[in-house]
Amino acid sequence: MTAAEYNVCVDTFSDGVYRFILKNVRDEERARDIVQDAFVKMWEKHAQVTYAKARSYLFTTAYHTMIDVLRRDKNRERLDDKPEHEPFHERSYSDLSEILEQALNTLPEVQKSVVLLRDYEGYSYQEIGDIVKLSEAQVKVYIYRARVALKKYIGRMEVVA
Amino acid sequence: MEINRNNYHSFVLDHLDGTLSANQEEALWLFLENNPDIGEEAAGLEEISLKETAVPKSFDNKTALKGLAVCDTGHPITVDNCQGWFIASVEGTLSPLHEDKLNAFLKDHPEMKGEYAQYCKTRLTPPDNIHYPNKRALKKFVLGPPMRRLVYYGAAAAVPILLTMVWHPAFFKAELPLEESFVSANRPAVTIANSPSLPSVRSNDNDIADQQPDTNEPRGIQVASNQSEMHDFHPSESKERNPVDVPPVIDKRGALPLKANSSHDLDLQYRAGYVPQPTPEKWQQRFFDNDVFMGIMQVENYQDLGFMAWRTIEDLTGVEREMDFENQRKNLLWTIADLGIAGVNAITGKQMELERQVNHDGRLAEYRLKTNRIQIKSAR
Repeated sequence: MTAAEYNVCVDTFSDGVYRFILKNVRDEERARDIVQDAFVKMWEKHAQVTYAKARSYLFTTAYHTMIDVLRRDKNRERLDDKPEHEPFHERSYSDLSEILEQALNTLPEVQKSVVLLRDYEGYSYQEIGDIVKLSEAQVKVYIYRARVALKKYIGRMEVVA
Repeated sequence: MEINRNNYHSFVLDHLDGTLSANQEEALWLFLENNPDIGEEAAGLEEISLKETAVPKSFDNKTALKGLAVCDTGHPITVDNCQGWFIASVEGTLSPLHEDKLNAFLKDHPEMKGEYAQYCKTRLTPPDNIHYPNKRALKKFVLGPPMRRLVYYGAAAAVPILLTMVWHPAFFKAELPLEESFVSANRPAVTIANSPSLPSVRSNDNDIADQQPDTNEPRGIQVASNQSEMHDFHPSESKERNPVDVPPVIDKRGALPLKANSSHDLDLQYRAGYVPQPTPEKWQQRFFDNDVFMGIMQVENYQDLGFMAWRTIEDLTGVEREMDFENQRKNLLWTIADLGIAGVNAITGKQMELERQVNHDGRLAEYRLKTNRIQIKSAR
């Protein structure tokens, strides 16, 4: 990949990778760091990474960096002994996007990631599997479960409303 | 390994991948039968993996979560398996034929429309208001072909400049703050004789005398091959330099008035038509007699040295670039040096860096020329 192609990748993919990571980590600064790290790694390997594979490489690298970060945070939380989630009924939501956002945050990390890659980026099951290192069947399972969980959450919120 | 509620998930996924042994398969399904709540999940997994025959008939919940592949199997849509159809529809994996079947089903079962609508809502829409905040910082600097050529020659021009900088510590004076740099009155006297590393070039100003009416006035530094001929430089000498007896000429590059006998000034005289075209020897002489020494010893002529290097780039490349000398006087040489280093890096693929450290007075305290393997350091 040339420097010019790399710059095109920055223009084309940085928003998508950032959006994907931000939705997962919910921290702008850390999301920025992870995306930057992914691009730095890609540039370090720019001789091996082709332009056609750049998008997949970026999402894969960013995803695994994010997993490392989240694991570190979990360990830290355990040490700090903080409550993991606040109960959902303590908040109110005005529209579907907010409800979905909250529902998304209740999903396990891997389910959230596969759904985001599917809906935001339009990746195929196989491509998602390559990124999160799962088989196609496993990806389908996680997406299925995620949809069911999201639907249940939406239904519950509609009943409450 | 015994299957329990903590590790069943990996067994189920291995089953989907077809990597379980016969004994493990049997143990898995025995476990699922004994744990119907988990069995519901497993049934969904099984349907998705298209291995329906492997599901024991005794497992009652298998139809509850027909997965994404259920439509591909050709099974008719029912109230029991419609959830899988709904999800497949949301996922966009239904064929037009299956979509028609789903629509027909919803027509026949209007009570299921609400559930289908809820599934449709689970489809996330990418927000268009989230953008990576600093794309520019991620990008790499790319030189276009003309700029590459310019940088190439810039690199050539930068080498003698860098050598000069490393060569002579007096060059540190070039980093004086702007307001100090170009006001000569407060400068300390500098002795040329104390600069043994400077080249000895005999000054030959006879030809200048032909062109410049007032040659009796001191004109800055006089250089001679014999060190005994050298004399102490004093700021007043530079300050009192007489301008050439011609009307001021405005240089197209940056409103520089014609004043003395540096190569820059000679260039201006020539362009204004006051002197014939200078020979290469004369350029060279002016450069060494005035520009280098003046650049080193007289801060106010610093710009001449920078101009000379810049002009070399321009002449070699044929590319004319506007330079704002008034605003870039202080940093011109560093700019060219940086350009040259970028050119060297572009050509060699190496990472050479020029670092500067300025002390609290704004004076250059140290600079380093670094590569991966070597480091040239010069400190005040």
